[in-house]
Amino acid sequence: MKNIVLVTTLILSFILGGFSVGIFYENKVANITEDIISEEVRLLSLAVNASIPCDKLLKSGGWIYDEYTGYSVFWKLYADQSMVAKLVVGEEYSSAVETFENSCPRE
Amino acid sequence: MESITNKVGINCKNNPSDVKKIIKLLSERKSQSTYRQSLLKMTVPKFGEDQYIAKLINAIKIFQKSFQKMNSPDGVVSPAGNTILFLGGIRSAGKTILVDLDDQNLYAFNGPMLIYEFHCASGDKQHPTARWPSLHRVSRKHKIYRSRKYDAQMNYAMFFTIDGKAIHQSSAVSVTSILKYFGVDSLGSHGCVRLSEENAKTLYTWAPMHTTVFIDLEKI
Repeated sequence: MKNIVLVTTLILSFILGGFSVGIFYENKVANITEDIISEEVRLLSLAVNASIPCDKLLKSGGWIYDEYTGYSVFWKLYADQSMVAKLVVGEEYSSAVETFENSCPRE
Repeated sequence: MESITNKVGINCKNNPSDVKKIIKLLSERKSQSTYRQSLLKMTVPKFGEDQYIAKLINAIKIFQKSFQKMNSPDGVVSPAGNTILFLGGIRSAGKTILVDLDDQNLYAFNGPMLIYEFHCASGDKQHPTARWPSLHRVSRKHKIYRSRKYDAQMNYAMFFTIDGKAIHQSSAVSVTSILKYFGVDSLGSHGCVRLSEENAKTLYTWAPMHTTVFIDLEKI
């Protein structure tokens, strides 16, 4: 009888332990995802009003950057000039990238 | 939830049924353990007592100053304004998402009509979704959000703060929500409001950009 109780207790503890680890791990992964994406969205929200430096971009062909308080914005035209990439870098070097259609007037 | 049909307060119609509702809401807010301390100075009049409208206006102003943190309280509660939400009521028009951190529930209202009620999981002890009732708007919507840099996925995301707090889909909801309901606050999100995939999808479809999001610590 004692052995049955012991084995049952062990099995239940094992299941409960596994279940708890599962919840803890799942929660942790979700938190990491949230932190990453929250920071990206924070940076993109900061730089939402930064407008594309069309003249410089069309002339340069490389990366163009503008500095603002607390963040910097890097711009680059795709090789086929169809899209613009916007990279926002925060004070502590966190970053977020956004791409959108090239709205600059073509030459 | 309570809603009013006309404005209550200074230079308003002060319809008796609306006045009764505001008195009830103010009294209930005052009796909630979370808020009792900050509303100590507020005296809520009884309906019909001597000069009860003047006393009510004073109570609304104190509420707006100490609870709603308004710099210049106007002493008016409007049917579709902000004060009615802080009071624990609901607007008479428009879509509102209400998150109750105490019960870990999310409610979606269209005017005073409850459309959806979902279990949710909010921030943990170190990263609470809000430390005081707060009003926001959906400022970004992403059906599929993937971090290019880290390959992290957060679908049906509706961001409502500038620092990146969002209502979004997560598989870590149900157990976390139940544990938080029973006071286990060490588990939870990093400030976001998590919903199951199905619920997040439904809410995402229902709520347009700029939908009001009200976070309450303790719902009436």
